[in-house]
Amino acid sequence: MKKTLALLMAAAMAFGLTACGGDQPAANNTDTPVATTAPAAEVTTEPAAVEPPAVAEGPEGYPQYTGDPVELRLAYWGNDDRVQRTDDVIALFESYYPSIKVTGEPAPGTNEMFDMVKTQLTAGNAADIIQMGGNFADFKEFIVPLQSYFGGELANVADPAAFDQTTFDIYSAGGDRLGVCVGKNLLALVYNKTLLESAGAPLPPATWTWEEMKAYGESVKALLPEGVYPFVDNAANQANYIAYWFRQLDKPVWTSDLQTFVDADGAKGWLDVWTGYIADGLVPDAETTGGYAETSPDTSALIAGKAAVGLIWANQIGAYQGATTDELGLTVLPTGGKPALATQGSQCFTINKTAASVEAAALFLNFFASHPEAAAILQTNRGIPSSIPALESLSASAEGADKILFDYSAFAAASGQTIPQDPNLPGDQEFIQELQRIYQAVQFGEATNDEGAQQIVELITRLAATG
Amino acid sequence: MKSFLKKNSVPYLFLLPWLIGFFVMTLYPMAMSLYMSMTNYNITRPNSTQFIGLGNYIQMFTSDPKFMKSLQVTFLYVFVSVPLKLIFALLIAVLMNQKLRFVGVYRAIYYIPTLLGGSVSIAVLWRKLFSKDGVINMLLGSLPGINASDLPGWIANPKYAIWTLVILTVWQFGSSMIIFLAGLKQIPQDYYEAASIDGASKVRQFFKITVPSLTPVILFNLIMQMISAFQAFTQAYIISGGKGGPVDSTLFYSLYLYNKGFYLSDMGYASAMAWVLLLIIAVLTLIIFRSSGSWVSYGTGE
Repeated sequence: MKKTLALLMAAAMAFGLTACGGDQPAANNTDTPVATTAPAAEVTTEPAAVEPPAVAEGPEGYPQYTGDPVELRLAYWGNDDRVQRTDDVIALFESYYPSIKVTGEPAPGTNEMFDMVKTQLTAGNAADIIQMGGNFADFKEFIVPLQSYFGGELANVADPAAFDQTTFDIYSAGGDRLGVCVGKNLLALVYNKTLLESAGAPLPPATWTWEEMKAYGESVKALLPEGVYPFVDNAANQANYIAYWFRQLDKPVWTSDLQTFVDADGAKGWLDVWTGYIADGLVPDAETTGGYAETSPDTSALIAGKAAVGLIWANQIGAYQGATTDELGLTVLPTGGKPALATQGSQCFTINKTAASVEAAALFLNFFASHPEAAAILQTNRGIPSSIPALESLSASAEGADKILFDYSAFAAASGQTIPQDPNLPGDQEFIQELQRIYQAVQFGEATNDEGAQQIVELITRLAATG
Repeated sequence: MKSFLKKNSVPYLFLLPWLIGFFVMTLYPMAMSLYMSMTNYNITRPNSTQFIGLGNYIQMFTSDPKFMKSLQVTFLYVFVSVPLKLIFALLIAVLMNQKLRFVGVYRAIYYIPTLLGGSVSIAVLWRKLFSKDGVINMLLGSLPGINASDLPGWIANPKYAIWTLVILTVWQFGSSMIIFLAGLKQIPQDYYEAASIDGASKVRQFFKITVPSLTPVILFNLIMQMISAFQAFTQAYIISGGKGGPVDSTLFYSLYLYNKGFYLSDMGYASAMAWVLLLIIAVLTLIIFRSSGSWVSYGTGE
């Protein structure tokens, strides 16, 4: 008796364990009906049989969905505001395409998202639609080429009259189009208008050269309060700024024909600019700079009141303006040499090869990036819209930070300084991380500018060799 | 076999949950990581994975300066923070062992850092405390003769950043303290009475009675703290912004491993690093055990 009881208890424990482990609800397996089930039972348990699948769904002027009901997951990063807007667009999409359910899986930042997504990709259970950054090419083994959907599910974003096609060229590898970019973005210098005006300093001009920027910094420095510097030290927090510098020198970091042209002279020039700023007190000292990661308003020396002018992505202006009561403005990056201000694809989405339905995922991207009602919800939260009608209607009615963004983007385009985006260096994340380490070594006197320049060139050459 | 099963089926059935856990959750992943450590497995390029034998291990010791830097940082951290923490824990435990009023309250209060210290929020707080315009510099700056603006940014300066992490670790002395306290309670009062009758001072009593009697507890604490110090991750991750900066000065071994595996997707290399760490910890633990014969006394008169 005792033994039987013990066996029962042990069996119950073991069963409990396995039950906890299995997370696939059996009832949900509608697309793989168990072969041994009687056909009659199958009909009653399949939800697809309740709704006739052949009814076409979709808004007017948009491709239609005739497939079976499907559930998609959407992985992206962003703050609460972006999550809310994205959820609103999803709800709108589902009202037009009732058979497609989309669930957002937001992460607070890119690093957090990619930690999660990489693990899921390895396990084979990543989201169906995944937002990618400049590192998208690293993931090309996992991404569905999109060009075969351009005539169908992606018809609206593939229409050159209605959607900016340039970003498709960037988000491609080996001739395959890999992503749909909802928006465009470009670097900008943000300045604290209130701070400068209250110090009696002039505002930065609409355009300036590197020499004029330095002279401006020197003239403003004396007017600013103690502990406030003219510029943020942006030498190494963004790989794109040094890439901009090399582009101006006509020595691009990485080109679409997979070559690098950087040299130690160019790298040293860059380090000389910034170490010169440190020596002249135009940027905060290394230890103060080290306290600000410069990735968002929360980690910005400018928002913390330490500096008057700093580098941001233009579409961050809304978030930065929202984080301070001071009034902000945008101006272009210093000019010199060749035009180099790249218009980037921003907020680009890819479809995972294991997606439950690539067609449904493509329909979602098509809708998300181009539908006017979706654009009205997103506003500029996902950058300057790639959709041409959305860009026109939003820029006509924009105010506040949005107006600053549209004005800046129009001015930059008209200035002749903008160029199409170069692809990102392979191992983009290592580039940013190591660039920062090298610059810190220079800042703290552990390496000279010459040594630092040499290390930057070695780093870029090493990463380029992996591409 | 049949009689073995018949005789032992019940115990094995009870062991089943653990056995499943061990084989599925521990042994299998370990075997996989050993295999992956001999490949160039990159999470983003699974299709081009190749077996490269000891390639990762050779690269680590011959052509990876960051790996060497991470070893240097980790050894410094372990060999400084563990002894300091144990000394601190022992001294506080001796104080807590006195017959004071409210001693229970003090014990609870001194244990609190251990409960909090490993958390992300304390790491964030630490970053603020030790930044250039943080509370520590404000306090130091209020002392006569010190100008706050001349003080360094402790977290942002590669010379000092690691020491803020050492302080954070030493501050979490609570669990060692509790174990020392239990050890102190085991020492018979007769020893101290006899010693004071013979005229031995308190300090002499401490070194001649307390420390020798506590050596088994010291051995235990030393090993446990050393192993956990080698695996330190959370605080360094938060305080250094995830990159082991500034200039790799807080690039702990586990942080570099994580960075390689998850940030740079080089999971084969990260797996190899995990095995090297296991070896390092195993060898050091063995050395401590071997040496214990000459300094640990179990009070058996041998």
